[in-house]
Amino acid sequence: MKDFKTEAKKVHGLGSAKTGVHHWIHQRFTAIMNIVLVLWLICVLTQVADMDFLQAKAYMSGTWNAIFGILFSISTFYHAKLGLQTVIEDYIHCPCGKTASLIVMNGLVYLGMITSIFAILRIAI
Amino acid sequence: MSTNSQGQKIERPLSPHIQIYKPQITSVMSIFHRITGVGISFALVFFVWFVVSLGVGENSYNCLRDFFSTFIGTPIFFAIILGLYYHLFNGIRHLLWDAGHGYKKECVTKSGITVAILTGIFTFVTVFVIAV
Repeated sequence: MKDFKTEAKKVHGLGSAKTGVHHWIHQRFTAIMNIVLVLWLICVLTQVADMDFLQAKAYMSGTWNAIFGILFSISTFYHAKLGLQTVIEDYIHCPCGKTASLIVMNGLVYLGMITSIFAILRIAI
Repeated sequence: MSTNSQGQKIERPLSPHIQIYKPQITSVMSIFHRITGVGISFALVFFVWFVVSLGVGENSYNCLRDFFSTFIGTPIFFAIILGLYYHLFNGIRHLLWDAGHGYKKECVTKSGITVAILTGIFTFVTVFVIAV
């Protein structure tokens, strides 16, 4: 038998799916983390500005800097991914180009994230 | 695409038509939030380079430092700092909006000006601390 109910009618009253807004929520959660992490990065930059290689390496290998560095890698790269996704979805209208850019962007962002986490672990451990 | 009275296809202007809009603090700050966001996303490459260079060796690290001391690299470095601060402060403005605050017209203008001033001050101080 043909189903005459519309999609909207079927889900009406069932409550939120709890997943539809995850992009928005994650963007805000990482944004709040990034306030702290970006200030940490700027502190690091002001310190590292006067350091040679060995000093900088020792400085970044410190427990807290390594922890914050890894946290920075996760939170900012993920936030960048969500933001770039929005920009791509808004400005690239051709479906092929949009999907291709999203795939490339995703790959590059996660490559950057994993590379920096790996690099920090390599000097810190 | 639509047709005129003669039945010929013509391209009518679409709304919103960015070229004829007067730039306002709201729209300008909004688009700069996107521009700085995209910019500092690309600048994350330098963060990766920095942490990787510490593991790779002195040459790689010095190469990064040398790049930022060239006449192209230095403005790029300070543009990144500027973009970071702008996105940070305007991001806090966005979070406050998300929490339901500051929607009055005067309030939006005031918070926008505050973001611009804070970005200026913090960038200047940071550049000063790094350069001196």
